[in-house]
Amino acid sequence: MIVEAQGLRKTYGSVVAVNDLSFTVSPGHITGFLGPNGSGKSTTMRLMLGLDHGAGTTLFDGRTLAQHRPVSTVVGSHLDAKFFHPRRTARAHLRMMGSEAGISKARINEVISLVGLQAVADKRPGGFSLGMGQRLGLATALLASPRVLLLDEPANGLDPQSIQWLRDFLTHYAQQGNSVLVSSHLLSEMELMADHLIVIAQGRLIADESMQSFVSRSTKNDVLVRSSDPVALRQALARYSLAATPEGADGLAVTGAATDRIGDIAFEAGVAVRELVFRQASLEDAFLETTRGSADFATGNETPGGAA
Amino acid sequence: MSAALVYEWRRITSIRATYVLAALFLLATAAVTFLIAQASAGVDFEGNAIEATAVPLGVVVVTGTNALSAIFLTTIAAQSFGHEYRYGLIRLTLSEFPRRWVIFTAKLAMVVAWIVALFVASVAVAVLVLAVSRTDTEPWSADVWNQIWRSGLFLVGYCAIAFALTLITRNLVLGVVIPLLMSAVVENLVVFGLAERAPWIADVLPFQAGNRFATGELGINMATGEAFTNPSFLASQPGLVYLVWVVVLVAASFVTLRSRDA
Repeated sequence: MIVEAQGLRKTYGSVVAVNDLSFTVSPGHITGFLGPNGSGKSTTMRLMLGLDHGAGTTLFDGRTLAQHRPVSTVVGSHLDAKFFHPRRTARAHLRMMGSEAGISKARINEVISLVGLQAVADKRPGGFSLGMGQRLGLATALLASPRVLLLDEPANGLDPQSIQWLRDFLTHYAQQGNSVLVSSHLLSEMELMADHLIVIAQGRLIADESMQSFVSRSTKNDVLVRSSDPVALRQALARYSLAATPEGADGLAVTGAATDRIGDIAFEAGVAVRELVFRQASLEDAFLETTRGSADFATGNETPGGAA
Repeated sequence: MSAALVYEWRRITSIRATYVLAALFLLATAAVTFLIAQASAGVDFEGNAIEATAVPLGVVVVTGTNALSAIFLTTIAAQSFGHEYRYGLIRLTLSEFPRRWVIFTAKLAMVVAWIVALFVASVAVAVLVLAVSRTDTEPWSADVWNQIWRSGLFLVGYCAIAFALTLITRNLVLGVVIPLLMSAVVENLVVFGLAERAPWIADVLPFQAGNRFATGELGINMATGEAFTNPSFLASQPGLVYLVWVVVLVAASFVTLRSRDA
């Protein structure tokens, strides 16, 4: 199912939380939804679900959510780990949430097993840890096997094993032709999970492209070359307008050229190459570069040890 | 709509508070009935013989449902949206039922159904207590039935007001406390305070009108302290005044649900 968000806009008084945001979430992919704190990610998700009032529309296979029946087979959402009554058992909560789609008891048991809540299914969730709350929230979202999943920070509070389970599960879910939009501030996790990215800052769209394309634009992508004569090699590189920064005793970090070209230049300069390796920037590097200056709640530059 | 009703049924039946509040309401009804029965039994609290009187069942029901015991039912009504907002469930609920009138109607219908069922049960409890206490009871008559259905409607309206105020304020406690304070304290102060300058005020206040409707009495003219002999239109139609208040507040709560962010 294709999800098309068109011209989403939300204001709180004079503050524009989401500003003319349009993007598409395609089936078969996990789309990561990134942005600094306060950039409008959660508001966007609420707008997509019709929970908040604002401008723009979100279409699910060309129709608004309210035009689908039952709604929970179209989209499953998980917006917060604590959206449950603390004294209603997890099983009763799921039974209630399964009413709209007529979910059977067998399916409820299946989902409880899937998220690993068998031991506490008949307990009140008031005492659940954050991770268990996340599992219950995920179970709620998955209950009616929806074709679209909207997950807001689903990995918060999960232990490493659970995060790995979540990643594998969502990958499998997307591979079955479903659409997954997931926001997270765990960029290393997002890097492993998502294959497409939507990045927003201050409510505006910053990037809507594949993970590979987004990361490849980072200036942190470079080539490390260790050689017998780094000074000579640096001069040779400069003749081709390639910037090189010394790194270690015999290394240079070169940007703007691929490994084979740098190898050729070293050969021409008569410099023996000891190591030649492409170093790809991380998602975190690319994200920080892209959103620099856009954070609504940016921290200062001071480090615990003093000014950076 | 049927899915929303199922949802609401599962919501209301899956929390213990519903059963505790229902039990407390019936217990309070039983206690009120027992006290009235004792007061009519021909013996005062010091054991002295007094003239025994037949217990008027209609009065028992009116007293039982208008007294503080009604707070248990208004709490059930207030929980309908109160819990949703308190625990953030409203976002899950409205995600499943994006057409908000559907879940609003289902919740209101479920509240009304529970209140009516519990009211009927409370009448049964009152009859049972009177039977067990072997008190002489006034025979069933048109007047008794009249008082019973009036009390039932008053109670449904009272709970609908609590339901609406909870949705408007998005606060369960306010949804319960505002109607209680209004009916027990504020309206009485207003009526007494404005008895000279605005004697008609009692005719337009919701719970004053509701109580008059439930008891079937027009009350007294606060300016003169005498019973109405030739009441104004509003004073003679307390049920209509009460109904208008209930409808206006419920409609306002729906507009609130529809227009606000979840």
